[in-house]
Amino acid sequence: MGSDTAERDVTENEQVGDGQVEDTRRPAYGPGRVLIFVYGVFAVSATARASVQLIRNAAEAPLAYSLSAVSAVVYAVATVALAHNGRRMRRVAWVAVTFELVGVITVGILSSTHPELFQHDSVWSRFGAGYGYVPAVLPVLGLFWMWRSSPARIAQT
Amino acid sequence: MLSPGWADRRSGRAGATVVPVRSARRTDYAAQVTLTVGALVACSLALGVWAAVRTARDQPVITRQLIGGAVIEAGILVQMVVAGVLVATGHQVPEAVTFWGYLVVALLVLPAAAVVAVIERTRWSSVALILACATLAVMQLRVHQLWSGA
Repeated sequence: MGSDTAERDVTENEQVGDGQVEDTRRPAYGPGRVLIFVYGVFAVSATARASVQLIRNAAEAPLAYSLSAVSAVVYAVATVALAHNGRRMRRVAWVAVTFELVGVITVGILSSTHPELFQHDSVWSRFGAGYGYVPAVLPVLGLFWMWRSSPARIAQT
Repeated sequence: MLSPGWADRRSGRAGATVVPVRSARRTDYAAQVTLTVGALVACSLALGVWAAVRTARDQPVITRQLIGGAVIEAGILVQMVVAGVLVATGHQVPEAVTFWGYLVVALLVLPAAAVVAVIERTRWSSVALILACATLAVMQLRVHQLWSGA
């Protein structure tokens, strides 16, 4: 929805010619904001979870707990980068969201083949089953949104 | 709401029968916590349904919904104060850090949805509010589990 309006407005802007280009795009960009909201919630809750685990006993399960910390950082970076949406920040968002997808798949597979490694849960264990599988769906939606909101793609069409 | 707990505490202080009183204290609080959590879950689900109706009608979040959210926030604050008093007066929460972590994060979810509501004046702010309310309901259920130590 957001990029549809953007597409329309790009053509409108071209019709204005070389005079003053008026940006008629609405400040809202719809579903992307919901995605950023969900990323934000995950950033905060993953940070809280990692903090709790590290405060209580970091040595209890170093792998699972450091994984929690890594996922918290990835969610936080992805949230900021998606919300900023600048040229360089979009690259950061691509990297963060791709890392997130690779992470949730790797940890999901490893936690079912080598459960002894993941006796303590992290956000990505069992493909994020503890969080209603949202951690597995979120990076797919994130990558789709990155593709859909890409300025290069919008300009081409 | 506090009365049975305070009564137990007083009798405990008087030095009558300490051990049975403690076990009674636990069960009494469980009922009240269930009631509090139930009320908050019901409120967030109601707000979520309201947001769903507005999403279906292609409408953004309105101020009245944010006021409803503020009422839920106040409810969480009251919950935190009551939980704090009960913990201070001797109730044992098995995973105390996790318990407080959930309450603090629960406090942040609706303000974040309010920020989305202010900057995103389309139906998508209503979608964000639905997700916030669903998150809050799930978190309250976890709070309930953690309080009783399940």
